[in-house]
Amino acid sequence: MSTLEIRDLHVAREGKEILKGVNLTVRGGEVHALMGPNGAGKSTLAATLAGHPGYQVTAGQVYLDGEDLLVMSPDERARRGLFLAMQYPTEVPGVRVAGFLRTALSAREGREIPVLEFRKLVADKLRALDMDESFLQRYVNDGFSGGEKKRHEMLQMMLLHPAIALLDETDSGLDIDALRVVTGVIRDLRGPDLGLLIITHYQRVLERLDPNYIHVMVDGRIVISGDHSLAAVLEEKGYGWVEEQYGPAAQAPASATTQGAGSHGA
Amino acid sequence: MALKLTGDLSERAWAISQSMDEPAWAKRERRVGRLVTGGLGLPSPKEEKWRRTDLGRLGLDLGQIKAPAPALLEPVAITGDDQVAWRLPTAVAADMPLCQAMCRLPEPEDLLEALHRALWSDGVLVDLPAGYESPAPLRIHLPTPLAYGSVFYILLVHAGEGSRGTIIIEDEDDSSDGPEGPRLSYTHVELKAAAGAAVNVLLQHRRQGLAYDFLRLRAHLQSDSALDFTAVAHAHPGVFRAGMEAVLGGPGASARARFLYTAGEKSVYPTHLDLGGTIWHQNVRTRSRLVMRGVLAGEARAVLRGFADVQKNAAGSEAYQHMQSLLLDRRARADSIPALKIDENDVKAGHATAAGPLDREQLFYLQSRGLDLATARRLMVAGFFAPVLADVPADLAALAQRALGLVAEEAIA
Repeated sequence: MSTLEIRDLHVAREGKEILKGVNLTVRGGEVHALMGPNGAGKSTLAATLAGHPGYQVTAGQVYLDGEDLLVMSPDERARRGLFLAMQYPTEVPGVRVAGFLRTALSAREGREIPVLEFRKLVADKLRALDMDESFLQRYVNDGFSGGEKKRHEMLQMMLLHPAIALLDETDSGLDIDALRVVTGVIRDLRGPDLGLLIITHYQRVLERLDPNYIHVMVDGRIVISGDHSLAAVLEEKGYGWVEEQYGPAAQAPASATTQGAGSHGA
Repeated sequence: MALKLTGDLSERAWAISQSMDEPAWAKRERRVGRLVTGGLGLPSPKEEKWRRTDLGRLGLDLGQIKAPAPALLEPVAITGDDQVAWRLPTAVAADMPLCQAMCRLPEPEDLLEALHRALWSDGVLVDLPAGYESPAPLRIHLPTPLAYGSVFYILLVHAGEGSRGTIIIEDEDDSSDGPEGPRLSYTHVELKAAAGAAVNVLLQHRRQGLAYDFLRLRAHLQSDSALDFTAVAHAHPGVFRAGMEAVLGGPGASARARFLYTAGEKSVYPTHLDLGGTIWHQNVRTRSRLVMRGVLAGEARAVLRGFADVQKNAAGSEAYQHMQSLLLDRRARADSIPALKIDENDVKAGHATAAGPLDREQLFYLQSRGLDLATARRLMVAGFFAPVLADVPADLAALAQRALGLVAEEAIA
């Protein structure tokens, strides 16, 4: 069972501070939902954890199973079991899905996966995602619809069996059927060996995935954490009251508030 | 006795001519070259077609390089249907009529062309009869020069009416260790395609060590004939210049050229690549497409030239040029110089150029899936070439891919 510990994480992009002290612990078997208004820093947190070179960690620590994540290259993080399903997956023209996935799987497993073994592994996952095998011959994300890109991210998550997965608005841009497929896959993957941090704006996703904890990020910090009941409050009242209380205009409290039965922090 | 290229060439030219038992017309052609060598210099970068490629500055010193000695030269090897291809010395000695018709090359305009004319020592004549369809590609293996040595080749290709042929020109070092000392090679390819003929040509070029290599392909295409030319090159320290010049003389004639290149091995010498495609659209419904795509590392530099001249009576023609270079290092550089001259209204034409580093977001995406940096780069470089490789004629695709795989590995190593 893996543990991801984020301690007082401060992150800047192009000199501007975006994360201003994030604390969060995600353990195997847990599902955390991260919510918050646009621009709060949710995607920055996900990208930073995955090692995106455009973000500079200015303070704080992140540990994956006790080891310093921040000194690892993006590929090393992935091989250790960290996975980021991107909000806007990058197009890589000329690189075919099949070759890319087999190379990624070989890297994760630390052995060369033979073509036949790969084909078998991928076939039932494609079926589960309601995808055709011809998908494998396309170039990575090139010309994919929004829904196809998200399914492709899920396909990778299924193949790479991460220990900690960060899902950055995987639900956005999906129609109802695709959303059902994707949330079904996430539910199937849920288990003691997988810790999930799901960034979302939608109550319907939370209903389907039933997270253990819900966190609200405002202005680069997690300001409220709680259980499922917090989602209902947010659905009803929006983020306005949270921003008023914890946003940049308000006096920032020394620590975040905890509502309900949930907890956050190490 | 070793004759330097800048020395008295008469003796060496005469020895080559004697070894081939040349008929009088061939001797005359050779003499044309010999006579003008004294009056011509290296190609000047002041001329538009040599702009940005200054051979003197790039270290070409003809005083260091020897003229070819017939006794020391390994013969050009031909594999394939021996009913349609002959070594050129044999064909010239036999005074085959086609030879005389095709061996009249253009007036030398610079010292390299003059030296080539005076000192050519080997080559191939390909004659595809009307209606002929080659059962398998014809392979022409060009032996590479020794250190401080030079070779000059002529390849003549005549494609009869409605014929179909595929030619592979292997111009590669056999061993992975390049000799110490500069080398020079110059190959002239003269191609004539009669009505309805279709010729595919693949050039594989790879050298190790310091070398100055030149290839000039001139093609004349009659009605509804087609030339498809693919060059896969790993440029070495020194210079590699390859150019296709095609005259689309008949209605419906077409020329496609794609140059796939890598360059940038570590060396004290600069690596300079000069690739060009020049197409004259002289008739209706003629089509040309020029694609140059490559990866440059280290301090390699590429000059990419395209020129399409769509003349007044070439209505319904199409001319496109695409040049794209991936720069793996900050000091690598690509100069793309596309040009279109259009004197006809009913024409579709365009050009696109790009040069830049590997996309950082793409690299991150691949790395975020566990691919280490080298593997991610390799995958992206292969992906960069993939769409162009997919366009290579089927019977050459696997070969081009293999050649490119080799050179791509070298570029990103």
